[in-house]
Amino acid sequence: MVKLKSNDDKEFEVEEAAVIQSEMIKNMIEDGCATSVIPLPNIDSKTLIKVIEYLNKHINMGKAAETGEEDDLKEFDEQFVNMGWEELFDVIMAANYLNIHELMELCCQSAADRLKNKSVRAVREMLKITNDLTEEEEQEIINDAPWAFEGPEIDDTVN
Amino acid sequence: METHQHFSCDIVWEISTYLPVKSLMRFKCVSKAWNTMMQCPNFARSHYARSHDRPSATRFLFQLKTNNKDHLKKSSLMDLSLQLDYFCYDGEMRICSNHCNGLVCLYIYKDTQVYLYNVTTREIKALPPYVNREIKIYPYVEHRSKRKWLPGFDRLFLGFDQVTGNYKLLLLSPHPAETKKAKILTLGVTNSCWRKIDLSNYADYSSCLSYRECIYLNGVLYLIWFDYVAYLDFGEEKIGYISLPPQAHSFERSSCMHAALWGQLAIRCCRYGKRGWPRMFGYDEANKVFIPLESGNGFQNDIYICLPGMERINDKTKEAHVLATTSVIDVPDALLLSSISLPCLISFVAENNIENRPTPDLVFRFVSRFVENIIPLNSLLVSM
Repeated sequence: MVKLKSNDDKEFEVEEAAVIQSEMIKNMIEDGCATSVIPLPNIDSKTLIKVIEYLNKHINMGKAAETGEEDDLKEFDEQFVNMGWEELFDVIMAANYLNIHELMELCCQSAADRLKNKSVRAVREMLKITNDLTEEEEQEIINDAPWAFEGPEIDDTVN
Repeated sequence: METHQHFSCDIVWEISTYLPVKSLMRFKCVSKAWNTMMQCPNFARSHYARSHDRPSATRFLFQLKTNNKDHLKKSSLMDLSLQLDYFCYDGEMRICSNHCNGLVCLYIYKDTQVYLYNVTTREIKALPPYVNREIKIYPYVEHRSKRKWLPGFDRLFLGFDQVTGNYKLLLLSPHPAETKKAKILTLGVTNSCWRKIDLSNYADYSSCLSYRECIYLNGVLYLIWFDYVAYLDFGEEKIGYISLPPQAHSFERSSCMHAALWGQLAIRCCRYGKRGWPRMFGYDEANKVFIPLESGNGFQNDIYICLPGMERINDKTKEAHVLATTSVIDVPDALLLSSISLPCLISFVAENNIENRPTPDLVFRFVSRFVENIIPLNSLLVSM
């Protein structure tokens, strides 16, 4: 068992087989740096619980293919990313920090799916980005590809 | 509640590689950093690599031409929704190369200039003068009856070297003195120049006027002739030959379009064996031979694909060249790889569901398969 500590000082015990899906922790274990508790100063307990839930479910990825549980795993993944935007945002940051390739892929795909039909204004708001383009620069980009700004699918809501 | 920290650049980069191109083109407006990222060649490469796994990113590129004379009978229509991307009219512009990863060369007659066109982003950019001045494109002839092969004009091909990741231009120049030479140029590198490559015993290409006789697949250009196929690997820059299977007579050259559609080299042979029936051959790349494919119930079943929206090209006085795309997820199964064993002929017709509205008939010139590619053209067309 490996002990992980969130930035709000909560400790979680995770099986080594599950936790080594994180390249970062795997390297720490291999280097013998994981003898006691591993502090994760960038991850809060709420996010860490989600990450551990994912790691535990995906512990036997190889086995799933043999036993025909792939559909089950797919369903889990679908349910897993069914979370709020802010929450997803936190899980992506955690997956990136812990270097969990599959989780990063799953969550980035979900983030992209939520962003793809958004209007420019909605994207800025969702990602808390300040527009630093001048009106002229913006108009120039629109004039270069007006087709990208047209279409019934474009959604101006933030959710 | 604490305010959220911003996504770091590399996470935004990562998420953006999963986005469709239309979204990327729009999100250039989000901020300066996003605009810069979308134009970065490394981002384009990451996005392109990722797009291979995104089913909707694989698209068909149709090259069509209006034809006011031919009227096809319309039967067994299939619906195929196309996004019409580009029109160019005879006398002004022509498509002057094969399709390569969603890129094509266009030629504008009035300024004798070749342009590179990216179908995905609809970006167009002129080839630099030192490249352009070497290319002699067949001039525009207004009356079709007067269009014939003239000596001294080039055929231009576009290819991708899968080893180095560079795009290359190939020029077959049937100038009398240079019949057995070809020139090749690497795009996107500084100090690039035309290099001559030897074509040895291959010389018949001068008669191949149209791009219907060539097919570009996975870094290799195949030039289809009646009794053999010549191929050029854009990595090795060497030409090779594949002979016709025994008992097969005359390839039907237009069938190479179907191969492009399926993403796998296959050729239809008009007469095969003692009975002289048509047969489809697939290419076995490892052994460099053509092998007969199951031919089902022969070739009687023509499929007519109808293209809604074509009534938008309503200038009946001019012939129009059209580039149009659609995602593979939106096409009927009959167009996909699984139908390689069902060698029917596919024809395209414009939909005319609005009565009394002029709609041109279409000649289906070529089709290719590509993955959405946002490669910025200024990274390919660098000045000397």
